Amino acid sequence: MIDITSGIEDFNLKEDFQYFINPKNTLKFGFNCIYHTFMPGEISSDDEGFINSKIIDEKYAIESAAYFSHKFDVSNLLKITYGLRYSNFSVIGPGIVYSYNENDEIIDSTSYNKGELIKNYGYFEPRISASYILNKKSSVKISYARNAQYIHLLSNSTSSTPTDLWLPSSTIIEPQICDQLALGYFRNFNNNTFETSVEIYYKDMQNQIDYQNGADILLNEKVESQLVFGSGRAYGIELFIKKKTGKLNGWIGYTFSRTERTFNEINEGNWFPSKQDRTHDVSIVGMYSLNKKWTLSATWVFNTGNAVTFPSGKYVIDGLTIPLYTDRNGYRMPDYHRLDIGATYTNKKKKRYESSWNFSVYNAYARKNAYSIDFRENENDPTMTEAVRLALFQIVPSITYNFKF
Amino acid sequence: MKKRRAIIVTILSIFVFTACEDVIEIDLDNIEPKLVIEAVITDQTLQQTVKLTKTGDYFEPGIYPAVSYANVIIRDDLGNSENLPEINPGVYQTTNLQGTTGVVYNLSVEVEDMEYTAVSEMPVKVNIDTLSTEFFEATPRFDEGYMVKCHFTDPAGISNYYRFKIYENGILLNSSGDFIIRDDKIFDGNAVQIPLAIKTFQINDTVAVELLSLNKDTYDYYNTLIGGSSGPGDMMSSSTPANPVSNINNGAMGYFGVYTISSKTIIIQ
Repeated sequence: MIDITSGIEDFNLKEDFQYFINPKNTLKFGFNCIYHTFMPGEISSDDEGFINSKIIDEKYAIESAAYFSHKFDVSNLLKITYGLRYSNFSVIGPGIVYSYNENDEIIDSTSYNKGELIKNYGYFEPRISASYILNKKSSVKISYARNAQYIHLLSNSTSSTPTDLWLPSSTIIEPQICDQLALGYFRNFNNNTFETSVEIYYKDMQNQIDYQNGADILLNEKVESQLVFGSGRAYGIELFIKKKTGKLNGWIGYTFSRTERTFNEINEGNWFPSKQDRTHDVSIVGMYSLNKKWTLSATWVFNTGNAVTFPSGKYVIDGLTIPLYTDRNGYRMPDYHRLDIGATYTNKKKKRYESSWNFSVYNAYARKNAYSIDFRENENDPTMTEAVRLALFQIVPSITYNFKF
Repeated sequence: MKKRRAIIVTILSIFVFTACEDVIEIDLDNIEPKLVIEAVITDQTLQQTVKLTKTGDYFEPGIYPAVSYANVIIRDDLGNSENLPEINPGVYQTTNLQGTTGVVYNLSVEVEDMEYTAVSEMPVKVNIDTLSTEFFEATPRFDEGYMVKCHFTDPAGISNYYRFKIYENGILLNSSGDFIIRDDKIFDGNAVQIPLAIKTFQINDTVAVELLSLNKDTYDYYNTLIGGSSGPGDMMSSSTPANPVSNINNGAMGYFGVYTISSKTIIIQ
């Protein structure tokens, strides 16, 4: 058995205040402070002698922020909220910091004591949003926000072992800076029976990280030498319709979005979809009250498969069949979709308590959504290669009893 | 106001955890075949071989067309040069070239109006001192049996890179899981014994071990080769699929490897 673990541990101190100056003005302010402990990885094996147990040093950081925001009703029609947040991220010891040359070799290392400051980052994060009521039925909203994110999510692009890794900012990894602009139009129909909205957004992201080609990342204390740095962008349109009242209610949402990145070292510097790019995302939720006791529900979700790297060709080196890759994230996992259905039976309300039974089926039509796809040689005919899908949770019925008192 | 508390009891969840594996059809692009160069110089022979093939589509049967009529030249930094004749389709061989430590070799392959080149230096040769065995009880990974250990002395003060090839009763163990490479970062200058932890052997098995002394380029190639292939190396490296880091330019696959070989044989007793 080999166990591989990694994680983050946080202590969070948080305080928020609200101050109502008058009916038209509300002031909010607060601060928070998080002490992070990052455990990049630990490998332990009871298969004695073959794999050395290995722990990579923990990393420590303090993330703190203070903010204020002012909600200001300019008129009955125009409402503005603006604010400013200042966030700070301090990488602290104990720890050893390496610097690398372009061949990923360590050229220098500095050792820090417990509590000693290794690196400090601080950013102002302005934000503003305004909503304007056009008439009784419709309104528009516009917003801008800048965010600094000090912890990066690093996703690999292999379809066979999907892995996400959280990496803190450091002397080498700079914080992600994200500027987002969004515009929305909201309108109600049929005496507010239907709520609809259209929203578009654009995000600009600086200091993105990804694996360099051939990166060796797991349990590598030099993980930072295996990264490339670039920028990202995301944009999309969200359509939403909700029926709020009646025997049948629910909503339909559709999002078209792209999340793309560019790195000089990958795909010749061209923009390519990140793993999180879902392109099309649909969710349909319906609830139907059959009578006082029975409620039926159904949910259908669909999204385009994650962007992944599949081999396009193959060749032989030293008697081994080697996959030939073309573009990073040039392929897609199969589309993901699933129907969940349920029925709830509400028992007669008692004086002291109420209770209900819920019967549900997850993935009702047993869609084999791919968790992973492995490319391998056929066991019987090694000249042939094949793709093997692993699907989890094909159909899961369950019964739940809810009890409130 | 009285607070309400909610208790949710999942009485029964018929967890049909049928994780299922099946072979599926995937549409992969048909790509323009790329040149694959497998060129190796060792200190063991005068006939050094360069193989030229083309890549195939992933889901096609593994037929890799030989590339003929190429102009293949190996030069060294002592002023020698040899033009390699094609002795079989796609197989080019020298007649009188023995790899020597410290010599830098240049490979040039001219084919289909393209020239591909690579440079590689013969590293210091490290010899196997001896082979030993150690008995192991059965584990989930291995049967009960004897594991072979390779003893050698790592030269101090320089970076050394190694690959181990293991032959069981004359047959090379050659799946991606059998690939063992090491660098000397954690044992520079030491007398070491490396357990060849890919298999246990039984009494009377003949096990031959080749210790290849690699230069950094060849080591990096092998390291990224097994990391990117679909073998168990993939699980452990857990990174992103990419082509191996090659020392050949102009987008050819493959590598120009220059290494020494030291071998020893042991009969398990």
